[in-house]
Amino acid sequence: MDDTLHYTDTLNPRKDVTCVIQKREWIEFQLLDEQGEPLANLPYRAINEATLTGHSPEYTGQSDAQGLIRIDELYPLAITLWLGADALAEQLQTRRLRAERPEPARPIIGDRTPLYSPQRSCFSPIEKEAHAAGHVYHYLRIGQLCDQQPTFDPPLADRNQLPAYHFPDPKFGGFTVGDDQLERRHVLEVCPFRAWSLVLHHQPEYSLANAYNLGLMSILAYSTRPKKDRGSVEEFFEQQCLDLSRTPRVWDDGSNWPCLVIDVPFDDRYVSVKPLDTTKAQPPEGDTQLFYAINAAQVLVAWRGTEVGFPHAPDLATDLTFRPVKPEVPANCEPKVSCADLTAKGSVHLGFRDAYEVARRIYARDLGKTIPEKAFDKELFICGHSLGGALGMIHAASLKERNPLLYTYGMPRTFTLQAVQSLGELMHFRHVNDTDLIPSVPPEAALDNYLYNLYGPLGTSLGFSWSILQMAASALVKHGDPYGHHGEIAMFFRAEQHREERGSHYPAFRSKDGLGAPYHTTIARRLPEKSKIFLVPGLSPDDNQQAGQSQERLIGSLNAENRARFFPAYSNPKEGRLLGIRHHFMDKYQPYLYSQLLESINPEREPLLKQQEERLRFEQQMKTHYGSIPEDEFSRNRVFLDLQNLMGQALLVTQLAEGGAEALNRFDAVAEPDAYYTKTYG
Amino acid sequence: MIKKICVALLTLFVSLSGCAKDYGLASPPDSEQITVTVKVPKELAAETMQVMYRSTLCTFTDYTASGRPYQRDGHQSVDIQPMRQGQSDLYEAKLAMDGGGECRWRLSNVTFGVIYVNPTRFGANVTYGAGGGVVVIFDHNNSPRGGADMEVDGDLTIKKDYYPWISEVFLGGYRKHISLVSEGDIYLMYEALQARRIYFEPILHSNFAVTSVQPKVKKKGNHTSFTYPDGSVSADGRSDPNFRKLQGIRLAAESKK
Repeated sequence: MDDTLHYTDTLNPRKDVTCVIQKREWIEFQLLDEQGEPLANLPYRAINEATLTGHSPEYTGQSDAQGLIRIDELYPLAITLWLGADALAEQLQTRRLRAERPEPARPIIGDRTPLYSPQRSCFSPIEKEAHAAGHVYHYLRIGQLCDQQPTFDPPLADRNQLPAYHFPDPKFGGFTVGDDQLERRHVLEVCPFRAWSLVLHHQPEYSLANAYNLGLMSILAYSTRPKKDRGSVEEFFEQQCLDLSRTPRVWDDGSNWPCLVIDVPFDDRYVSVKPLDTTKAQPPEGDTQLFYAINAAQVLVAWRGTEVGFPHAPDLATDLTFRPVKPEVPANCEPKVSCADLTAKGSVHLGFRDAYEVARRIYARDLGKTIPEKAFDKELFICGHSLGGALGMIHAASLKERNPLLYTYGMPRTFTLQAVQSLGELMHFRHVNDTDLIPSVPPEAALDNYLYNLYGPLGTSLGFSWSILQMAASALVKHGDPYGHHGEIAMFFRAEQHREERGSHYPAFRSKDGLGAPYHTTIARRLPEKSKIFLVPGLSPDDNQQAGQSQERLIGSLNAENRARFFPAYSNPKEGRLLGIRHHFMDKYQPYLYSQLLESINPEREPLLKQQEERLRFEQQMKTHYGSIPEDEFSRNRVFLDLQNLMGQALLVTQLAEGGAEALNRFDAVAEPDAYYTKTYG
Repeated sequence: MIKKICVALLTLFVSLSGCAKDYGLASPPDSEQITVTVKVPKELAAETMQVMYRSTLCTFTDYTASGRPYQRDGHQSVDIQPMRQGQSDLYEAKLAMDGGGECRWRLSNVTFGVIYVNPTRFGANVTYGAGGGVVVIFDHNNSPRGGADMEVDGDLTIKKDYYPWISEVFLGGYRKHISLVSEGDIYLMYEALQARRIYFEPILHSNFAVTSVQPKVKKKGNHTSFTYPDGSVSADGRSDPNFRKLQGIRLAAESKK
């Protein structure tokens, strides 16, 4: 061992190595979208160790009409595939999603599961087909296949922050198949490059999809969470609406409402998403809050409601100093923004106008330029709950030439009657939950323009079947230009039934008219079954008229004693009970819309929804006690139930719209039927 | 008994001191500072800065959509006018990070920017529209205009191209606006947790103005029409100018020279 030159070497340059000619292999990739349609004519590039070391040229080409890529003469090495980013993005943007999504559970705090993990196996029907044919199956997203960042139009807010669902691999490492997986066909199902958009129909007819989604947006307007937190406005539009594995949900206070969404090309996603909070003034006074979100087709504005603390003094309910002021607002206007008069005639409530002006002044650029200008090319939707409804109404009035569609929930009276009448063209659906107090303030005069037009002064005092408290407000006199409501009403009505019995056989018993009384005293008793009825008179104007007349007769035929005993809801709010306030919050409104949406999607589900069962029992009760129920009440309930049955119409447009049926299927698949219960008691 | 008195006294003191809290800002003189510098192009002016402080000690009650009360951080806003540095085009403001006071206010975010100083240069009745703003957030909360789009480590230097945009609107009363178009929205939104110096240099390309006109009637197929500095016109349904196209036109024109 004296030979100092003797050493071992892994790379022996001197010895020849003998081996057989290496076997060459093949691989096939088949590119399909979620509908099973091929992704044709896409440029590809593939590499392995052999191409990297220059032993063979890179494999390039295009997928054929069947979306097939075949590569022959491969060394038995792992191979990595890329597709041309822009061509792939362009094609994937036009492809539709399958209705149902895998809906992986959202990782909770402490759970290390990534938010966007691979799709669970056995979910896709394409997977089953691929396996049946003996192929290998993969579910991929655009970022796992494209060779670079595709062009975004509109561009990303931050170039370096790619949307995480579509681009799980920010390094664009391509799709790699191991050397043991060659000589096979790999079916690559690629998720379409889409984004979620809320289903909204810009139409004068009532739509349940609008009511449900805009109700959720009115809830979202209350969110004060920072951008990255779950439940924030930005998280909803900028993260959830780009995550195609799940249905976007509005998260508020333990509720987790799924939205009714439709898929649109990624470039049509929501981009300008701005939660605005006028923190200028000392909290909480003058704190007006709203958000807007704009995508290719919609400009969506949601105003936040008031800070009503129950049982503490609710701002709105106790503020009885409602002073109407002229709606023109030049004095308070930001000098940079020219101010259009809100209405030709009439007045607007001072407090609401001031709250609106705070926002208008601080966010002059958004409310004075961006929203009005963008609303020209797109459809404008405005919504809000409570004070948010009033602010939304003022906002809609200021943009009336841009044809806004307004949905409000439990809004107070905002404009005076004259102003309301001059805003006649404005499309507005106003939701009222049974005896919610807020819609009947300011209580200066109980008037509802809808019934006012229908029956004249008498209708406003007696015919207020839709918002019962207002009827009881004592100031029924029409003086000056009182506040009135605008818009078509949609009401959640808690129907009861009574049974009339003769109170005494002695004709003059407790009768003021003494022996001359022509009638026996009757006593009414409330029957046990109650039912919730969702009333949208606009769906059937004729029925509405009939119900109004019958309500009028019912009220007229009751005597004072019975009314006080069995209709406590009719008591005057000024006598000190804020009984309606607990019906006011959004968590009392949204369950109606949720249940109704589920009911209208499938009226014959197994088992029936609770509300449907209740209604059936209520109808049975009507049959059982037929004859002893006051005739007018009976016919009113009959008409109301018929109106309820018309609710299916409010979903027709959605069912017929492109992708609408899929959106409804998707919603039905994620929504739990009795997750939110609508109360009949209290 | 003594226990009871203790509890009663404690309650009393806590409630009394709660009432006596001074909500004012009182920044200590030795507070750490953040310097914001804006290089203002000739035709533009620096806007008043809105500085927002936050306190986790002084909270206020807010309500969720279902009416449940919860506590939110208190906040205070101060307006600061940036000072011109000598005869230069640099405007500077120093923001105290410690807002002091019993509430122990902390600097949360600042909103600033540039606007057209004299919009009537573009015609009578022209008003300033939008654009040219910057929001920098120093904590994990939202600004009054929402959260940040971009996060930076350390100091923040922003150099962006801006183009004038003259827009005409007829619907709901004639209005003509002069705005600034850049890569971002109306405001560029940053989160800069460690920044001590912020430098903003808008580069205004006055010779490459884009104009837009909206039709007088809103109906399907009627879209805002944009005229770009190279004379090309497009009305394809978009409602802002195409920034990428503007950049392309300018770079092409500049490379010709």
